[in-house]
Amino acid sequence: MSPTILALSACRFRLCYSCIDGFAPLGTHERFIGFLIEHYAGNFPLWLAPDQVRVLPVTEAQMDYARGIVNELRGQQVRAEREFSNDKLMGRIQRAEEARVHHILVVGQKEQDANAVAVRIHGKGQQGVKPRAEVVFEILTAVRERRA
Amino acid sequence: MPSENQEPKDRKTLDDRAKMTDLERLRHSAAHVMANAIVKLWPDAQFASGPAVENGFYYDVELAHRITPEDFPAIEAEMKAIVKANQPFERLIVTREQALADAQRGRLAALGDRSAPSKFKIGNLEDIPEGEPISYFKNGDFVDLCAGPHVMRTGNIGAFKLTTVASAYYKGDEKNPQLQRIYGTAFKNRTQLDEYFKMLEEAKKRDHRKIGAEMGLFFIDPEYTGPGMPLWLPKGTMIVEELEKLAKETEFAAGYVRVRTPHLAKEKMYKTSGHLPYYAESMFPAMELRERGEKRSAGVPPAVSGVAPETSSHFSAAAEVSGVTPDATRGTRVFPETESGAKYSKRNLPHFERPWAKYMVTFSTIQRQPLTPQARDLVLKSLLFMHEQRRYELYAACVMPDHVHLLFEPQIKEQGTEGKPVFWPLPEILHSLKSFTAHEINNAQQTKGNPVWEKESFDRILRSDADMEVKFHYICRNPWDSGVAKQDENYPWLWTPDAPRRDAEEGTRDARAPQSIRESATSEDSGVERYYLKAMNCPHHHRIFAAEPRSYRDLPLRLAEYGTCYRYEQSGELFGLMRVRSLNMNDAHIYCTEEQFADEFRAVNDMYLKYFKIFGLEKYQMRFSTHAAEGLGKKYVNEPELWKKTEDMVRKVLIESGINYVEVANEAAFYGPKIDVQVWSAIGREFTIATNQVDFAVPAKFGLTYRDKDNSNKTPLCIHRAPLGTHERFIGFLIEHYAGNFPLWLAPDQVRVITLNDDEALINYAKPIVAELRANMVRVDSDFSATPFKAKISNAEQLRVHTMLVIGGRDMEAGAVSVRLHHGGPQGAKPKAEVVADILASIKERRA
Ligand SMILES: [Zn+2]
Ligand SMILES: [Zn+2]
Repeated sequence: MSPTILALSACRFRLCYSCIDGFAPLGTHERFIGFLIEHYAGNFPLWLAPDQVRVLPVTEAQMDYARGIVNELRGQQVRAEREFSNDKLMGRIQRAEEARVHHILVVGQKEQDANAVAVRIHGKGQQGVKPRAEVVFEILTAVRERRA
Repeated sequence: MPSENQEPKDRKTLDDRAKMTDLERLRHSAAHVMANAIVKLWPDAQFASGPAVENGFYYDVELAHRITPEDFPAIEAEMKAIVKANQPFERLIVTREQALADAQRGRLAALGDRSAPSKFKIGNLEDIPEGEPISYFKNGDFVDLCAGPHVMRTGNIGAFKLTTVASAYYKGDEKNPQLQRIYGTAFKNRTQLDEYFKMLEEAKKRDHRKIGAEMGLFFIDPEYTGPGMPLWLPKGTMIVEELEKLAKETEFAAGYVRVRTPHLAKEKMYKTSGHLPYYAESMFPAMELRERGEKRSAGVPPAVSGVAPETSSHFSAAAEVSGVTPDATRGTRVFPETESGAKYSKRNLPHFERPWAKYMVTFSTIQRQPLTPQARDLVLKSLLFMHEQRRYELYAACVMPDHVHLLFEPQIKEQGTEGKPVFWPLPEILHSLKSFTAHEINNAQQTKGNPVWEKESFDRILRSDADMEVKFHYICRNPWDSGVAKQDENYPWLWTPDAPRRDAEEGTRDARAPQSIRESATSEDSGVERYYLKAMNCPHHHRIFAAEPRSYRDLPLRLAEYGTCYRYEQSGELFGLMRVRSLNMNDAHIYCTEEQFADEFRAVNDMYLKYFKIFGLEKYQMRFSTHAAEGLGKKYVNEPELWKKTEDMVRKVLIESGINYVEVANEAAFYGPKIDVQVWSAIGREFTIATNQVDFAVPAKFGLTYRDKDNSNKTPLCIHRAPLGTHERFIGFLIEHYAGNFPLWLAPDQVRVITLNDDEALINYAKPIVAELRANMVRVDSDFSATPFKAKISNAEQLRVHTMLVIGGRDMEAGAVSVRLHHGGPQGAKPKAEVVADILASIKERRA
């Protein structure tokens, strides 16, 4: 966001002192999160996203593998969850996209055998298959560094 | 709560007496012996009651001599003699007549007959119910009216000591005489007595108020902030935040989700939860709010509805219509002058007109004189007449005895120049309405020119459909909310378009608003909204549960919040951090199915055990309070099966997890069984830090449901839990427990790096150590000054800095630091990297 647009948005939400009317204070969660929702159009960066990671096992055979990934991430305080249902994979991916889950990790037999995951990022689509350790490390780093 | 001596307000029942522990029997027996000793020294002493209480006993006595601690040795010497004589406590059953006669002769709580009657014993006799046996207990010559129980002989009272003198009213009633209350304590043996006093001594040293002030943890500022509302100072906040971090990590791992809620809620919230009126005394008084109307909303486009929801919701039903005779200043704030298309007409009250605007209009009778039913008929007829004449489109009308509410939309009067329509102006409509109806009424009553209406009207433009709905409902409820119509009665002068036209002859129309509309009224005085500071987080969490449709897939739903609550404790009961008025609660509510309950409850218990371990609490007990069948429907919600089911589940979990627990019948909460968690601090003082509660009634009151697998709607169970209690009480407890010497992870001052002197090379060696620790979020500071080394250490020790890293020339050469612990002294020199790693690990693992 360019400084001008930022300033304009800030003004619109009365984030700057000159616009504050009466007692509406600057820098409240309410106002600031209101601003951020519009700023990101609800597509928050990983560190802010309410749903950070969702792991989708393709079949029941990858349930344990998926659980391992979720537990590893949750152990590092990442908001990760696993979803498996009778719904088709595409349906589950679509649901995750609708829920604005930032990282969607799909694991099928091929990925499990290779100790890998297929990464999909909300709004950016497929990112290809990568080694599990690399993906976990990437996620942790992005969260820690609060990457945009 | 640390045990304070609390007097039982009512006389103990025989049932209570049967439950007295051995120690209580011993202490009560000591009270007899003390009275015996006192009456020996002061024969005119008149005794009232002498029960065992927590930590000891007392006896109330009326006596011309004022007993002071200086008298204690003499009394104790007499007591010793009686104990040594090892007299048996003999029980004698007497008739009421006999007891009264003995009391008249001054024989009760005495060594023999006296000139003055045992007046308080006469009063005590009155409290003994008919049919209950009346008994004396006699040791030596001392006879007392008492139901017992006691130890066998005075010699069984191992060790005793008198402690304090206070004053108290006979039977706790200030209309009664004031008595001297002599407190003492007693134990089985000398060792236990000594331990008790040692513990008290230690507790005094560890008093959280004293240490809290020394360490700068919190500050209570009765004059400005208010009593019982601690301000957390920076160092106290460090502990607060460490605890929150612990809770957040633990709860995250256990699958909780966090929520945040405001500190206030409307009356309806607490009426629904049942806090009102039953808990009203413990809540701060209500804030009454007369909404002034909409806030300026210029500049926020409607597109961002999620961002500035105030624009529409600021409107409140009762707000603007409350003043039928409104104050003159009101309108100026209500309406933004900049509103496009709005025309400001300069009258006493501001009025706005807009094309196709909808208005709520209220006007009242002159001096609020009531209209006869006939007059009300005429008014309603006239209102409808103008509706038919297309002056306005009427949406609702209500002719109350002394005022009229209308909801309408002025219609087009004519086509103006440039093809713009001209609407019937509001003042014109109101003027003709008022004069027309006044004329009709005067005609009917054969009067002439009597004023009927107040000149002024109050009108309000409606800004949204939601606003319109609120006003519509308000009008429809008005006769019942104001009490003009009874709940089961029709009100014939209420009109809405969906209702059939009122037939004056038959008068059969059901003009009542739907039940649901009337029930949504918030308070009797409909102009005022009552808000309460929240005393509990539960209702807020229930509303969060209700905020979205829930299915069985969403359960268990565990909502957690470090919520701030406010409770109105009597000022006399406030005590440091232990009894406060503002509390930060480690709260969570678990919504689950019956099948999930046992697992959820077990997980809550496991969390407690985890916390106990972290804080080194070796002695703890769960006090499991269950219901009693005879209280069902009165003291307990009438769900016998649910009571049995949940109590069985709780009991099973407690047994399986091997937790030390006691079960107490007939002490549950109204809504379900309750588990109080009692812990003992390092010096053996008992604290109740938390309460768990199973709740199978309130979720139903809030109408909480989830859709089950079979598509039916079911009400979830709710577990209330707060393992770390409140910050206030828990930190108060921790201060005593650790005597202010917190473990590294909790210590406000974790590390201080101290150089031997202000040598530059030393400082350059030390600085990166400080930087590295800070980068890892360690609370570290440094002392590189030229102050003598010993003073630097002593300063740090005084501040209770947990770990001191001392650096001299030799450390520097070896790439080492010398470690010194506040609670452990010098630990020798170690490699720098090892020390840093050890500090980080100790914090991360929350080592003791
Ligand atoms: Zn007794
Ligand atoms: Zn609760």
